Amino acid sequence: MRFIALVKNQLQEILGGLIVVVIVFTFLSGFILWSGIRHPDPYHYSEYSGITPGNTVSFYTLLQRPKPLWGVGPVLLVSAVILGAMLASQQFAEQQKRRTWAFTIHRSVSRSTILWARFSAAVIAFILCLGVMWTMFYLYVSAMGASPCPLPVRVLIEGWIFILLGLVIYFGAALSEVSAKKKYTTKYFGAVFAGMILVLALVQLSLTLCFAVIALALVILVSDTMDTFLSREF
Amino acid sequence: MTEMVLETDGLTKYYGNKLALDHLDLKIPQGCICGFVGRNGAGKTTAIKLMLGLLKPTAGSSRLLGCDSQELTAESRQRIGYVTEGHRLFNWMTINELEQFQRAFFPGQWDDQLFADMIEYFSLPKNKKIKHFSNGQRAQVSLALTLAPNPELLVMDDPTLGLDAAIRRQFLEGMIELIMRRNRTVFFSSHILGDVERVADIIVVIDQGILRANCSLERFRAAVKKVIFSFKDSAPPKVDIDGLLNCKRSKGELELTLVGIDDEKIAEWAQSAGAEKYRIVKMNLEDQFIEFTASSGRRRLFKWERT
Amino acid sequence: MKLKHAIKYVAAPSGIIMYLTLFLIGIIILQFIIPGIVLLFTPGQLSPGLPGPEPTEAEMRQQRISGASKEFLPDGTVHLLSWSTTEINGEFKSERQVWDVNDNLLWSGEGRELPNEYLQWPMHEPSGSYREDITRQMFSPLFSRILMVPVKPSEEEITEYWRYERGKRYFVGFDAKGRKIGYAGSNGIKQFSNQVEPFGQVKYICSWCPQDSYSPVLLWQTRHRLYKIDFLARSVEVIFDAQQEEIDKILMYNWRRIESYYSADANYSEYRPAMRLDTKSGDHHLWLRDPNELLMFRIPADWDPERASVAATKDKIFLRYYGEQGPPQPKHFLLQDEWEKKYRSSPFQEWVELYQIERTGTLKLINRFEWTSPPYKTFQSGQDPRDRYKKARYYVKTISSPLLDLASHWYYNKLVYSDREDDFAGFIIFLMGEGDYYQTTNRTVNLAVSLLMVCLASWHGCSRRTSWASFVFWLVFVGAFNLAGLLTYLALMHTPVIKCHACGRRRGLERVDCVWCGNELPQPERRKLDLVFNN
Repeated sequence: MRFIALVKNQLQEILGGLIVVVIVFTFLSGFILWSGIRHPDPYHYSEYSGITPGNTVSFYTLLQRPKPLWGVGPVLLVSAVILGAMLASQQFAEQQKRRTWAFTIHRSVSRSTILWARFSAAVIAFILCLGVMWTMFYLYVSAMGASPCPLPVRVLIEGWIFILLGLVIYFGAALSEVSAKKKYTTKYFGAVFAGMILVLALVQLSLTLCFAVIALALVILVSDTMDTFLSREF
Repeated sequence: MTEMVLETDGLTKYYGNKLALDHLDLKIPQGCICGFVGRNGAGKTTAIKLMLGLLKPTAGSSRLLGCDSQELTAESRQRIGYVTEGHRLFNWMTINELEQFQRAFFPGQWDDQLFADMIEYFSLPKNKKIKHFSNGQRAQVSLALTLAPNPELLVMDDPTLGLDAAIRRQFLEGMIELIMRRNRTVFFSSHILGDVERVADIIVVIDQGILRANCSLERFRAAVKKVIFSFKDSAPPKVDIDGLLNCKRSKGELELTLVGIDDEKIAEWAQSAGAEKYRIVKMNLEDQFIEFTASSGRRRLFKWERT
Repeated sequence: MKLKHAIKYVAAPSGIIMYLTLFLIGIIILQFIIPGIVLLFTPGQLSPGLPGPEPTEAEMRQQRISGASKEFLPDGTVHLLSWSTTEINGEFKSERQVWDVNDNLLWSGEGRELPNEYLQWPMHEPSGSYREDITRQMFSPLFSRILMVPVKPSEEEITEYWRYERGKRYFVGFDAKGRKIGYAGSNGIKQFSNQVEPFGQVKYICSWCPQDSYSPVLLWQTRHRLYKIDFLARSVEVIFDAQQEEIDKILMYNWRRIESYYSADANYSEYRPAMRLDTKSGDHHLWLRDPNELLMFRIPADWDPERASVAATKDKIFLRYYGEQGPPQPKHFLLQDEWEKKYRSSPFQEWVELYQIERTGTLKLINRFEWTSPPYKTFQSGQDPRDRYKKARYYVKTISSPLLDLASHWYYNKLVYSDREDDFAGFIIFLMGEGDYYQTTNRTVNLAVSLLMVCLASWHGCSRRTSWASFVFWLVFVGAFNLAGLLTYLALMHTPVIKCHACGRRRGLERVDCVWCGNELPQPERRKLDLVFNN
């Protein structure tokens, strides 16, 4: 009951930002998909128009992006990153700015419960705002037959990886906000580390390694954030 | 034996290498109202936060309701009400939403009627966001949220800060009546000595992180005295009276602040010093507090000679 | 155990990993940037050259021979082709000259009107992609690229798509409506997935369209085999099987009879399509067409295979090799200056040889021409920017981590030959070994600097220590990671200190008693007039 009250409180607080992110993401992605599907010969035909008899075929001509979803990828990644930074700011930086930590911490629950409520609210936000929308876009494109070949499941997984990366950014930013260190020293190392993981994950060539990098980063960031929060003075 | 609701043992806190609280030893019994006073930067908020587990002590320990402050359980926190300095609440919430939120943490303990009565008494709009409230209104909401769960111990950090006299009076009287009706304990810090004088049973004075007084209010009031001695010629160069706190000389007069000296001893000294006459100046708690904490070698801002 | 205490066992190493990683990366970046800045702002000056009279005839001859292209006639005779520029009435006119090895000018005139047909060497790296390029494209914000080969009966129509499944290592075919039509693997094209056998790990791919088709044909090289995949013809043909050997490289000589950018003006119709497959064990296989023929040859162990070219006429198969005195030039530019000083600061020998590759695979030398080349231009003394770069690098490398230095030496050789599909190892290799950035230039100085860091950490931590185990751990940590270790230590362990009232020394506040004298924090001075009665 108390945990749910905390989660509900968090979701209420971040609701405005979530709505904005959902609207912007849905609108932009929907527009991109609509433009892609409208093309008279969708998918790859125009990309193959350079193939002529007797000539070499550039390898990159054969390497195709999963249209029409490929345009949604950057929107999804950027939305996830922005959502992560925004959530961390609202949940932690705002409290610090308004000096309401003392009111928040003095609850008949443990500090770890308060923190997990925040984390849970953030995860729910990611799933509802981006995860559900992304999965719906993927299923819609697959069901509609907007491409001659069924889209590989890998595309869906990669979209979820972008959402996970947004979560990594959230934890990194949260760690930075919770840290009591000085701004000109190592306060923002959490956010920098999360940014580094973002790049490191995107240069991975195998999904397994990508997940491993993200999992390791989450373990590091979550444990560090927890430890900092539990031992922090307010 | 009276149960102690609040105990500290050598509580010490350093911020960096700056000493904020130095070996605070306190015992506050159940059922009293304790006023916690001190100058700016004396360490009041630090002490309160240490007691509530919001800060970690450098040395020493404290216990609230028998529970170590650093290990306060959920059940213990349920029995403690805390009004933060400045009445910090979630600005984006309304009173209704705050009530729902706060209630969830006190299952079976929340007094709906009391909360509704207080809100009605203070005439507060329930559907308005907190950010649109004045300081006084926020203080009232804060009090209502803190009292509705019926806490055994109420800790308040400067609860009347920024409130006008009418609201302050309302706040204190409402608080005291409710608390005394239910035999609760109140521990509050304040800069407004008049409020402390009005309601407190026990006074705790802290100065530059060091405990200077911890006694009943009556004892403190009786102990700190200011006496003006008039001399025909000039006052004696050396003042050797017990309990001397401060000494101020002016033409033919000697103004002494004394602690713990009864009237008989004052009369004896007046005679031995050759004073023509003397009178004990009537002081309120604020005056007494200023004199009591003025002896720490502080430079006076304004210096004038009495004429 | 309370969560607060339990989480510390995970959070403590996590924090160390995070801070250490960031500091190490920051230091590596500095180690990249600083020498580069030095190089950028201190360009060197080449030697102006010897002042004095005009070059002698011998010197001019040497330059002409060195600069000429050495061409072979089919009978093995070598001619030197050079350009000569003359000024006539203010206009510059260039003409082609053909010399023999005895310095006789045989012919001069317009370049297109050469009197002889010299052997052509139509070699090119086919415009395909190596595994690194293939796999590097696979994941980005725009999602993974998918290898999709279309089947186009005509220019406007696509009837099939064949998609490569990376994890499964075979192709899946779809018709234009998205229905599965088959699977293509190493054993050909099958109808069901349980019938197909996957390809080996792909190393190289290139593609072209036959003269009469719009459907691409793939050349698919794995570790041991070379396949030709034609989806239109529904065929997967094994062109070459190295068995247990591993294919290292493929070179093509007029293989597809396709006019590439490089051969727009050339006519290679006299030459048979040839493909050279080099294995890691040093064997060179030659796959010829018209008629089909496969033969194997070996080159001497001290040859650089990249300097050997093959041309197959209707009757014979020729091999040309360019040799030069001394070991090959190092690839890393920091090692080139020493090589230049040692091997190219004075005139040096070069040669070109023509061999015939016989059907048995032996090389029969037909002709060899050797000449002396002038030395390389050098920088003035003290003006070589590479020396300054090295000096800057020397200093910045002193703050490298000795532990990582050790690890990189230990694992570098292991990693550099790693051939895993995901290629993350390749990324690490690039960071560690390609630029040699983790190899310090002077281990003694590096260790001395590490020791200095340890001393600093010791001075800082002595008065703040809470336990000897923790203190020793951090000293070892700082010693192992040098500056990055010290910064990590300071980020995590810096706490305030005060002066102990008893012994006067600095002491930390993490423990109640002083680390030096054991005294606790002093009690405050109580006044006689304090009114403390309730305690």
